[in-house]
Amino acid sequence: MNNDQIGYLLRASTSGAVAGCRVAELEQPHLGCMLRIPQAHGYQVYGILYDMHIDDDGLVRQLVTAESISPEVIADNRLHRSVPVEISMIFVGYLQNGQIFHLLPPRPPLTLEDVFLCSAAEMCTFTASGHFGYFRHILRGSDFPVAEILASHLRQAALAQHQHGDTAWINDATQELITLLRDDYPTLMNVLSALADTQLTPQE
Amino acid sequence: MPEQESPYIGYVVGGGLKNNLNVRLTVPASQVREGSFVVVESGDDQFYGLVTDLQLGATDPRFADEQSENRFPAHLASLLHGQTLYTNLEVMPALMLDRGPDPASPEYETWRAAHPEDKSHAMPVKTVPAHHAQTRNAHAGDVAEIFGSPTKKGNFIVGSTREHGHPICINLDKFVQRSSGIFGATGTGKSFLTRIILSGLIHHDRTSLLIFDMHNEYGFDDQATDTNQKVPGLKSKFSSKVTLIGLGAGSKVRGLSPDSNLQLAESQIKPEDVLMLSGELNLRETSATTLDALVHSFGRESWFHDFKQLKNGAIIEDDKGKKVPAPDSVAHWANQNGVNAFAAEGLHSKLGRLFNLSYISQKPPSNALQEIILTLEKGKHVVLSFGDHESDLDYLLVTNTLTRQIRAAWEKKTNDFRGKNAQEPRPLVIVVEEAHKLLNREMASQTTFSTIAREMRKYYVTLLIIDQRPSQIYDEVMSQLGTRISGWLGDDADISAVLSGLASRESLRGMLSRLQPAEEVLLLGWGVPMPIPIRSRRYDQQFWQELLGEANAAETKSIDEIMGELGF
Amino acid sequence: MPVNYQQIRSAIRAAGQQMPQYALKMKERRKEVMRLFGEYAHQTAILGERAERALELNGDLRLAIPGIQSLNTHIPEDTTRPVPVLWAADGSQIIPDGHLALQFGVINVGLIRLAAGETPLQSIESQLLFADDLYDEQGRRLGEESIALRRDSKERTALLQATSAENSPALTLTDGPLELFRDLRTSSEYQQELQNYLSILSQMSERRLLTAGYVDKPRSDLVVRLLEVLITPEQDISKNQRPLAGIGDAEIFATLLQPGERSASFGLQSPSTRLFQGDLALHFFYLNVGRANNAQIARVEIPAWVAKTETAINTVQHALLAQCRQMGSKAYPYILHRAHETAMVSFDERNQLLNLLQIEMLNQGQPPGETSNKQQAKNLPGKTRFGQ
Repeated sequence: MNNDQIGYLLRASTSGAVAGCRVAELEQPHLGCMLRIPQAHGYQVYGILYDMHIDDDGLVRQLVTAESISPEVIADNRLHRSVPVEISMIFVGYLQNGQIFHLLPPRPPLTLEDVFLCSAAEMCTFTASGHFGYFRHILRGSDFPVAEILASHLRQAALAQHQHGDTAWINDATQELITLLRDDYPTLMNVLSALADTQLTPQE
Repeated sequence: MPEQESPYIGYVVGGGLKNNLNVRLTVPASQVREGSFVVVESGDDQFYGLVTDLQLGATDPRFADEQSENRFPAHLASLLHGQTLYTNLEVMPALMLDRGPDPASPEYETWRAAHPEDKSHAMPVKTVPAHHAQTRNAHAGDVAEIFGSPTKKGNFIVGSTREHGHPICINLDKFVQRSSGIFGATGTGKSFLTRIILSGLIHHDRTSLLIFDMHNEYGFDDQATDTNQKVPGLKSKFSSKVTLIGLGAGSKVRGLSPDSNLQLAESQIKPEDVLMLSGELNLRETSATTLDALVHSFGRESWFHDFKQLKNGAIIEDDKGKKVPAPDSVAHWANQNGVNAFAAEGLHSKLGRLFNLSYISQKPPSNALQEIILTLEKGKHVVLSFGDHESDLDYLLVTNTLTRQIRAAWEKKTNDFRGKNAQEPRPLVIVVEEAHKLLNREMASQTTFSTIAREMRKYYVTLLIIDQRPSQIYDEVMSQLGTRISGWLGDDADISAVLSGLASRESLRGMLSRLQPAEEVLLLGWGVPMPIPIRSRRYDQQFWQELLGEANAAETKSIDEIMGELGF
Repeated sequence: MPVNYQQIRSAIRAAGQQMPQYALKMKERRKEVMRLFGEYAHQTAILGERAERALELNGDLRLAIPGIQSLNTHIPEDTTRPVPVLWAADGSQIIPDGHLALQFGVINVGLIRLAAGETPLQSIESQLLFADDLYDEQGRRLGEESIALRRDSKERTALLQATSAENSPALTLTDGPLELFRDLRTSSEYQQELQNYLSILSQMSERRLLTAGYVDKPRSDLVVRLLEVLITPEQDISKNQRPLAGIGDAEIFATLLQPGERSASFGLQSPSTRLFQGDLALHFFYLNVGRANNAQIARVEIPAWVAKTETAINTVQHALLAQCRQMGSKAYPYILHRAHETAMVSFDERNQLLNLLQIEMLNQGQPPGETSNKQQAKNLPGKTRFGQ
């Protein structure tokens, strides 16, 4: 129904989930992009991608010792080897009865649910709802590079918001981040450095 | 000032009545200055206050330490600074005002009945505004609310707020109810400000002025020392209302003849006048005893004349050929009256400087003193120019002698008014330059001036003292001064003296030392609702035009213009 | 309990003491083999005659039949040969286990297709053996051999079906010999499967599909046996004497073949290969898939329809070498590994299948079976420690 599907849910908790997809399907999702996992009755969980794993195995390790790897072998490994790419996401909110909440979902989605990439419009709707409450879920993260994820997310969201005519969003978002982080100097500096590296031009 | 989108400049974040209020600035610090008149809106109350300090702050010192603008793109740096770096205003709350409920609300009628219009409800601050109360710059309406409307009679514009140029008035009726002072180091525009206020008082025409013009500045036109431009004198502008009196027979003021001359009669010099000159004449402690004996011996009216006639050191040979004091000698008189001869001779020789003063004569042609009193009673104003007699001795002697007698006259008039339903005396303001010479710690107890200062308006006489060294003035006198207007002062002692007896001295101290010389003055004291630094009014053509109206402005027209108007 | 090291140690020591003597014997035999190989290298006609004669005397002999090329022929890789479309099949199975709650078997065949410039294909064919499927016509439960036989047959069937739509020249590969080499050859089931197998090979032959079976690290001594015939008196041939036992063909060809080179093709003679006649007759050659100074010898079995054309053998040689090179230092055809990987049924997967079956049984109101007590005891967990 939607070619934005990027994979299926492998495992989940109330705070995050891991989805699996094939290497060959790995072109769409980026670090920091927004994902959604639709459930029954219009309930939908939103997540932000914070990690992707490309695992090797013995065969791959042996293949790399060959003098040259033929294209069909590479293609075969990417297409058919049964190791899925693991895509980790943290949950940042959910949709229920048409209303978006920047809260952790009341219950996690189930195994093998379809995982979709959010469209620019969906990303705009989510990020513009409320007052950036979902930032706290990202900032709480301890096992991933918070600053990089934030910067990557802000870049994608800012471009989407810009396309949809809200040029001030990025400034408001940055301002909120500074407010949230001004008592945590090292993290704030990291986040701002990362934001500087996104080379987003100021919008006013 | 162009109207801004939001009138607010910040919000209250802390503070108290003792330590002033802290206001987090939400506009660039460059838009607010020390001394700004600001209004804090808190519910139905408005708090009026002065910005006494601006402090740079940071939520974490590291944000201030690091030059993050070098590290991040401009837009990020500015967002960061907006959140982490800030300026706090220290606002000294002075007055508060109950604005009352919204006119549309039902409670308004009740409130309105209890608070009739045309009456300022401003009162001293008794509470603090709420957290996050919005703060804005005062607008013209606020200034008028507190300092009075410039259009109302008795309100006289002395200057304007520094940032926005809203006119600041003093109430002249209130101004003369207590003694007041104008201070400022040399060259800070003291004398121009004095001229402005004197002009205002003359124009208001409720009081008489006696101006001791030691340096001959106020009567005729003068040249400004810095710009060399013509500075109009009071006599020039108010010729019918102002009498210019020169000291001494035939004296001239700036080469022009005064309206009359002041000659003192010897009989008008009293022992206390002499004693007051102890310092100047270097009198001994025995002088008082000797003077007592003189009065006892010659009488209060003629002691001066008779003592002057005695010869100092004259001796004759007695019958036995022994040298003895001559009968018309000082020593003879001393011996006769049981006074130490050496002390008497010493006093005589020291009084020699008085005996030789040209403006003291045995029988002056007219009773100039009485004329002055009459003039003042008639509601005219007297400028006493000292002409060439610019020594301290002249100044001390003449001002004291005159003031003592004038005050005595007003005291009598007041007692007559109170007891015998006579006419109410016209209020008199005595303007004293170089006031520290008369009101220093040593002299203050002896001169009439300190009495006047302390008495306030009991006898309808108050002082306007003008000085550059307020610290030299006896602090008891200083503390009695109602309205104080001060230009820039550099000396700590002078600053303390000007602020003596006032609350929030510490907050005002810095402000006083940072006033712009010749441009800005600080208004403070009982006579003004709250202390405020102002840009003082210019003593120029425009001033006269505003004060005296259009008719007077014609004076400024060139000959050609006048001829043109006449049809030539 | 672990191994009784005391007992084993003495056996190890005894074995070790024999080693020098054994090594000496082997050295002598190897020397003899090399001598014979050199001496008769070009006398393939004589070798052929002696082999024929020996087979007449003893039909159970399993040996190589030389072609017209001399024994020591070594043919380098012809890199100009086109690489055909490659198909590989490999199978795996789950053997029914009486100790499990339910008995079931699975035959799993993985198929891989690799073609230059095309997306690789991968498919799996799985067959569940349950209930009646687990027993043969005589009511005996299928054993390991029986299931392996079916698996071999399925591999070949799968390859035939998969290549039916193939337009380009194709090479089908399997791991291991082409001949059905099972212990059940007298059973009717074997006969049936064999006929099926031969029929498939015939169809492949008709379609001129290149076909090869790849034997990694071969222990065969087919050529050595041919040489043995030379030195065995006729009256002893039927006695199955092995004067040169212990020496494998790989040892000969490791010294002869340079990396990438293959030997001449030999006919494969054994009791079971007699059923492979005409175009189906089995042949083989040795191939050095190793690198310089590190010979790795593989044996490649091919049917006659391939063996009779030298360029076809060259094509197989080139394709296999290209595949082996993909795997780096451990040369083995990549496609065969992938077929194996695809077909592999892991222990976990077996348990999952068991679960699925049990659930289905329950759904149908049937008892889900019970694990044997023995198996339950085996499944008991190992020791645990407090706090871990």
